[in-house]
Amino acid sequence: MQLPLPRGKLLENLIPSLTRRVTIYLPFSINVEYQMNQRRTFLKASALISMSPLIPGFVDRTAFGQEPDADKPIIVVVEMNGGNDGLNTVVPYGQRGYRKARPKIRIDKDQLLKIDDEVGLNPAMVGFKELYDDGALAIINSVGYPNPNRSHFESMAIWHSADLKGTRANGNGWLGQYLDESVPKERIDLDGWFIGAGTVPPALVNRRSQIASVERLQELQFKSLETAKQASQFGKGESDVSSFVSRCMTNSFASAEHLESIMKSKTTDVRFPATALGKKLSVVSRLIRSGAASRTYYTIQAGYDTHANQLGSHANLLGELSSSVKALVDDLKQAKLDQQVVVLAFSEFGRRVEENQSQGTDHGTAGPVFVAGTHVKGGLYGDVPDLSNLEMGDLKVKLDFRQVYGTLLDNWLNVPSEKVLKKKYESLEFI
Amino acid sequence: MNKYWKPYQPNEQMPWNIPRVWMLHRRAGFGANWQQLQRDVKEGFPKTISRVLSDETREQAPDGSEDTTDYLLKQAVQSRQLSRLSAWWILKMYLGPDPFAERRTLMWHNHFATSNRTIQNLFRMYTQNQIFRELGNGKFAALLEKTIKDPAMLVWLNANDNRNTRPNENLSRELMELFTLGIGNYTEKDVKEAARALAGWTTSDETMQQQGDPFSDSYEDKMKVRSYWQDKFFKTILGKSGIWDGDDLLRIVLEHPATSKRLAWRVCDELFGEDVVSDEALSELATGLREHDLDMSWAFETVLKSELFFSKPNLKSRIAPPETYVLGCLIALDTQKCPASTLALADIFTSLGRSLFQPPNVGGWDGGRLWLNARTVVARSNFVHAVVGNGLNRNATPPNFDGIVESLDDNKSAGSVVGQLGELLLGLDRDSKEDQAMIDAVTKEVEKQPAKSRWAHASRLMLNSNSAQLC
Repeated sequence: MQLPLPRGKLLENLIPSLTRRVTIYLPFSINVEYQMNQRRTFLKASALISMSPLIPGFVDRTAFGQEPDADKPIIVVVEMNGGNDGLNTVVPYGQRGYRKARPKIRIDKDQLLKIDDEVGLNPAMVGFKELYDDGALAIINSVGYPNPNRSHFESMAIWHSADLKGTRANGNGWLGQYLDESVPKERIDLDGWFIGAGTVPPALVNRRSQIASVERLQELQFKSLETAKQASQFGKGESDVSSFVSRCMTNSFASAEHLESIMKSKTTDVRFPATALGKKLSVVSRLIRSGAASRTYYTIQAGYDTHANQLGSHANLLGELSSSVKALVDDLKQAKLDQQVVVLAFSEFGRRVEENQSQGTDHGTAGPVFVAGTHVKGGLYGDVPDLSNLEMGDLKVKLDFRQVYGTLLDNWLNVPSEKVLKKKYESLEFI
Repeated sequence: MNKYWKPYQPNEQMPWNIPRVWMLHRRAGFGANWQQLQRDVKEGFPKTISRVLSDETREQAPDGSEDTTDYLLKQAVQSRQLSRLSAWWILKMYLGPDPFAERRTLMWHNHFATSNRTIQNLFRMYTQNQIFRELGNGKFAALLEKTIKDPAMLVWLNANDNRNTRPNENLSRELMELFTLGIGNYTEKDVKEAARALAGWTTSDETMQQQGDPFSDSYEDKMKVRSYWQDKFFKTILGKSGIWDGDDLLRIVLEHPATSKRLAWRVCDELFGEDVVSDEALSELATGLREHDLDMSWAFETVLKSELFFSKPNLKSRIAPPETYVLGCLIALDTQKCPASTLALADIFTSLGRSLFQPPNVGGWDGGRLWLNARTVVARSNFVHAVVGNGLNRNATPPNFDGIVESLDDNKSAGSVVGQLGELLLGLDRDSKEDQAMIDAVTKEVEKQPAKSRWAHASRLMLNSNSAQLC
């Protein structure tokens, strides 16, 4: 499509490169880089007390360094986007079918991190193996749903909505529905966070709850906090809406300052991997440690669509996943918050049993789901895939993913699962 | 009709002054600069309001802006980058000739909230947006029909899955719950029967959408009625029985009185502050809407000319939505000649919670107090920091504060400059003790500053204040 260039100074101003040629992509970053200056690390408790009638509970708690409510279960979701190859993740090395189906991308028995004499974890998954040995990792095998859909988009929509149509009548996602069922009428903070770029994923879509997305913690920091604080003293009105604004401002200053102190303080010596997911989960950890009242955190690890030369790239992904989740659990443990948090890692489908001609794998059906946390009853759940009993060359689905959701809802999130899933699924007892 | 919606006539209690002009611009549009505020105060209410209603608020759009927006639109659709389409729309709000039309378009985008997350087709998002722009100030029946029969809505609410043999209720439910009647005014059976009536309303072949130039004359993307999926049997919807199809359904929901009430609510929700419009006032407006065949232009005009709109409780009683906060600030600071990058603004809108073309869900943005939270308060403050510091434009040129101050009527003393900046940026009322106290406090603060950075600092303080969050 050829477009005539319009004339006029305006366009030139808006799009500098245009006059040269038609690439008008303007990558945006607010040009002023973030400066760590002039910020007090800790809240002044006395100043807060003097304003206390205006301060919501969250600030009260955090200002005095107290932990978040212990009765509030937190869920952290890692979406393994692209369709994870379950067979090279939790490897059924004991079966002859595995060697046969994977002549080129097989992982040697000796290298595996053995779980038992049937299966072993991909050698990259050291973090998960440690969690497993600590009894803090549930590996749930052969999870999927009836009549598997091999479209990334449609299958992901099914996992997000917990509905086989891929959408719910009210448009909610399963976590959004959970939050709608559980958020109190009077809220003082966001109900959930999406850690990543762009908009909130469908799983979190809801009618009542408040979700925000954030990619880096810097987005939650004031570039000029002192000015903002000073300014908030001006023009305080008497009306109800004005005092609401005042409360919000005070709340934001307090959380920003608290976050700042969390960021600076070295309360734990855990190091998160310097990878995309590692950074995201460190944001999650800091938000939880900052005393945010939010109970749902969602992140995406992309790249699992391994159609070609998958051995190395797949191992990198699994290594990143397991070390990042391990770091999150450890970090929270040192902050004595691990009792409150459970991590769920899932993918929209598994991959074909037989490798393809490009030393990769194509879209398949069932796959493993991971649930990690101090409260988790570690172990292997569900049947290990039986490679001698396939369905048109694909793994058989043995557990419905809604059993995983249902178990989490009933036994961890304390919302009757039938309210979210429309019916009761058999519990898996991993928590 | 005259109990709650008496026309506004300026008087001593409710003078036609800067705070009211300021509010009119922020609510019906996005904001005004000093010249516009002065002009409107001087020319009086009747002339100002007819200028707003006749869509001529901005006498002159900047040089080349029509070509520019057109060009940006085509580029955006071609690039398939949503942020570019948002940038196109933001440019129309920011610099376009008709801010009131863009405000209405935004209102309808919220009412018929459709997300590109599902549509994944920017031309369809644009087409729907254009329907809101073109039909949003006329009879609601035409707007509703065009919107429902447009591919964006049909895809959004799963019309392609709705067949006589296996109905999908998504479209019929939202049609009743969100677009017309409102919850509580229909039964589950009505939803089911309505879904049957809508069966067979689908879009044409999806693969067609991937090819061709959508702006060419030969491109066609329309609703397709598949008669073999239609349900030709007897139905009862909202108490009316017949062999109804989709058009009959639209007629039935449009005739229902609850629809006028919901539309009255929608208009007031977009234009009023908190707790200003009583339920009785809504009902009266709804009755009027019915008497005027759901003519939205009648409703907008009635509301914007009403005493209630200009009454004291309506002033500074609305949490400024993201677009008002951002564009109101940019327009007041006279940035039009060296405008902020609208692509940057698209990101800023998102960080403030208004991701255009991607509303949070089918119910749209709840708005009001929910605009403010730990994330968005920071984003608002950081936006001000960026604008005052570098104008968010390509040259990193801050707004011309000295120029603004020079243009003020009385720029002799710091106090009067701050007072007028307060009127310009916050709609302050210098006759009110409360507002004057704020002006005095800010004045004291800026007098400590070196002359060079004084007005930038005053603006920074005021735009970060509690008062700036209200409009």
